[in-house]
Amino acid sequence: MDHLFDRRIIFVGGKGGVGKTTTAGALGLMAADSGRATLLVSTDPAHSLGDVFDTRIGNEETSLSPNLTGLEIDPEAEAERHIATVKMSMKSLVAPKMYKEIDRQLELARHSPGTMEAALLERMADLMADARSRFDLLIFDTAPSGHTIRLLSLPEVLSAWSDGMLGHQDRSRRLGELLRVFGRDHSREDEFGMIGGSKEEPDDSRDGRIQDILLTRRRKFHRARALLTDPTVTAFLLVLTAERLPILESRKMLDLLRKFDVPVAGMVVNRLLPPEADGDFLQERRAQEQEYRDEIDSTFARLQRVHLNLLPHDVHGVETLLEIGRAILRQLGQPREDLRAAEAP
Amino acid sequence: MRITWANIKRWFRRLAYLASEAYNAPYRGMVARAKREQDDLFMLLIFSEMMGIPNPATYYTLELQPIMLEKFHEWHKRAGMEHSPLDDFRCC
Amino acid sequence: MTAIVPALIGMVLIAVGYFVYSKFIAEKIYQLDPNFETPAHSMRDDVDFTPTNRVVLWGHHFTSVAGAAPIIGPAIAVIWGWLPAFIWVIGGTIFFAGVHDFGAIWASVRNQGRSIGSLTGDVVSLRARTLFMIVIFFLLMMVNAVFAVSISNAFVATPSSVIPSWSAIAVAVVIGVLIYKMKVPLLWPTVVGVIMLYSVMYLGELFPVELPQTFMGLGAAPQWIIILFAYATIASMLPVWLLLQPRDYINGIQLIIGLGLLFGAVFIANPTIVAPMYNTVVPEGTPPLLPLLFVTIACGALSGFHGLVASGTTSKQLNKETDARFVGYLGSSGEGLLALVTIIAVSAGFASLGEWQTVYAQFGGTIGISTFVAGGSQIVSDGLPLSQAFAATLLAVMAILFAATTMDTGVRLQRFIIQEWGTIYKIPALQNGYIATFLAVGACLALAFGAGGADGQGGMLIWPLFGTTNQLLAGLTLLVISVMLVKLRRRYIFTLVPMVFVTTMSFLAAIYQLWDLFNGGSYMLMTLDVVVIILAIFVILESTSAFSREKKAAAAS
Repeated sequence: MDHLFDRRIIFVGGKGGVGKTTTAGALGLMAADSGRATLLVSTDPAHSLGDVFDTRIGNEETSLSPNLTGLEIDPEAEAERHIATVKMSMKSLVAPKMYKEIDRQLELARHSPGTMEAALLERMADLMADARSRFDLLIFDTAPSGHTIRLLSLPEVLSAWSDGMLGHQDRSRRLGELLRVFGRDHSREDEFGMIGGSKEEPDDSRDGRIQDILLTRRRKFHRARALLTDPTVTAFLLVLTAERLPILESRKMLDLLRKFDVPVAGMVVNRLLPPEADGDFLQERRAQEQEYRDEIDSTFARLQRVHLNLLPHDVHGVETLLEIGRAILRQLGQPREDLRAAEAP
Repeated sequence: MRITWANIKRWFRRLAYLASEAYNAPYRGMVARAKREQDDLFMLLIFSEMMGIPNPATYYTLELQPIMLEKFHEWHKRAGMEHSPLDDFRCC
Repeated sequence: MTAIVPALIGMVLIAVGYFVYSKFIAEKIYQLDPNFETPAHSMRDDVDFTPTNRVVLWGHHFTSVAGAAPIIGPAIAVIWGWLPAFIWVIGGTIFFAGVHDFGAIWASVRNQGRSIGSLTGDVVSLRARTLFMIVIFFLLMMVNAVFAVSISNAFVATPSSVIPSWSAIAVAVVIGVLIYKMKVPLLWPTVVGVIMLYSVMYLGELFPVELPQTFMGLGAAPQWIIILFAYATIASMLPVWLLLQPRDYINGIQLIIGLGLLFGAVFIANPTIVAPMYNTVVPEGTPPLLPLLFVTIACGALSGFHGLVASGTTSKQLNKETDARFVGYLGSSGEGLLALVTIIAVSAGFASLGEWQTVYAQFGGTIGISTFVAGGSQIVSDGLPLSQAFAATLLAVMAILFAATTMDTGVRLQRFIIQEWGTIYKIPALQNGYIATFLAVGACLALAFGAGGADGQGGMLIWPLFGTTNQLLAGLTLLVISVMLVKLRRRYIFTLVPMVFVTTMSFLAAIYQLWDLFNGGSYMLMTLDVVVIILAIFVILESTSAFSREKKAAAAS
């Protein structure tokens, strides 16, 4: 793995509870200390980023330490905003007695799962596009595997959708042009009065607005997809523990990530039993763990792996995270300058 | 009607109008119908979620719905339904 | 007798018919109201319903209906003598076709622009409506088949018409591209197109084309039939602005020029009619004048097909109800003129009675467009400074292009119907455009060869059957109009008499043909005929019951 922090976007993902947030936090601190302006974003609805840093973060960018900013995306708030805009547009077009109906209908839409994911994706895509000018590195702490996979596949799905819709619009526009060629000669006052002219204008402007919206969306999806699949820009880091279910899930995740062309940079094998842990009970566990480690080594042979030991205490607070961060970077063979910067008191 | 240059020109213009109508009028309907069907399809795709058809892009069709509201209304009127056919969505 | 006499009498009578009879029908029977809000206004959507200038509507109606049929029918029918054909054409145009076309528009306009087919369901019965749809499909099949046969016979008889007819496609495409793609205003492409078309006719004379006598076991005419259907298939799939639209336009221009040349030539050349007024020595195998005359000449006297056009698009575009008289009655009058001039061409265009009898040595056969061309070109070259060869090419190309356009439209319509059946009966395969077109063309080919045999020569046997079915349709339409009149407590005799007459004649003709086809061994056509007879019986039964039902209802209230 070449310098991890040369990428602009890093996703940290894996099964629930394997230590994604701590890894993401640790990496964030390391990057910040190496002089890079870093944004740490949580897309997990059950946000734990704030807990790990012992602060409240929320839907606004919050400073966590010099160069490090945190953000917990609230998809509900996003969806709320979006739907409020739609409501306002609709209400401006119908009679007041319909307002209740519109509210009811759009409330239902708000709670559908697709809406949440799309709102999340929106925010992510915006961050990926805009934040790059303000930050050197974006690190996403993602939701447990399934959600994330769907999320990462959305740009492709939505690109296809917007392409299709634009295709329909295009066909309609061409037929409209044909119709205009066949149209009546407007320069001469038609003996039946103005035909077509008055009807055409609102249609044209409506079509124009639809076109604009669809094109903006499509651009955003295409952009997001381009960034996501560019190995010089994005890296996905899989976190797992040496246990049966995480290994199975990681394998599935890897396949899906490859299918969607998301570049996978490496794996973090977390919570391994440290050498100093002793006792018969733990020896047995260590034996089993070794089996799993072997499995990991053989299954994911071509991925660079980092091994992190189980710590004697909970992970939270900047100090512990720094410790973990150093451990990771050391294993990655990162340049000495970065490590030194991290070790300086 | 006297045979003046103006009259001839007027007569000529009328002939041109009739010829152009003769050329185009029979085909307008065909093309207009095709366009209308295409537009109806697009409109229904936007409202597909409301019709019970799951759509990955609901979030995005939602923002297009206010713009297409008028077309939805025109469509159900044209299809002979006095009011919106969807129980949940009444536009009139 | 000089041909000018029937020409003049015919024209005068038709004019009187328009000014007197149609006025009477318009005011007293249909009671047209200039202030009635037509569907073009009340249901206006600028897609199907849009008010259109009545001259344009008339032009479109006229050019849609005045096809090759008013040429072929009279050409064949003169075998019984020119007078019977003349009387039927003039009388039919004035009292039957005028009322029918006119009434179809009126009936549709007063019923939200619905087509006659759909009205039949309301006014008569749903069964009648199904009948209607079946009849239409058969009609289309027969039209396509018989026109293909006619055109191929014409190609064989007039080889100089081959190149110009096919070049007309190129001319149309050029016009289409100029107008649509390059946005040139209509005038110049029109002029250029017309000049190109008539210039190519000279070329046609210099380079006549004849297909090999036998190729893969088929004679020249059958080869043409296959080529024609291949063309119709392709043409029905091209965008309308490329071929269909400009070609319709050119046809309209040709019709005006052709009629002008023919009538002009008649009045200048003053040819003598050589055909007998009433032929007492009809050739062996000619069916009896009664009832066959009335189904041999359909278009030009009365044709149910027009009701489809009238209630299909015309009624939805009518600006004022009073326009219906101008568009409908005058439209069929125009067609009557074409039939009239054909009668004259094939009666007076030959040098002597003997020559005429040689041409009319048998009923049908190859008589049709080529006969019209032979006779007409003689008159035109006598009356105008044009060589007979050129005149022949001109007339042949005109008739061929009329028939070809009908074929295209016919194939297209059949495809729509098949696709609709696919939707109604939930057969996805039928909804596919290619499959539907293939089926439509296949059915027509089967009919063309099945009727005519491998040499396709017997194809014209379909003609009387086509006429019969056509008249049945007319009968149904007249029934709908009559029932409407009964409901409105108006005099219905003016539509009822034509209806009874035409239905009776079709029924009798169908029965006669059954016997005739059986004897001739044309079993396929015979089966078709049986179907037509069954349909005819249904029509009669449904009509009688509907009519008496309505009369009782009207009397009761």
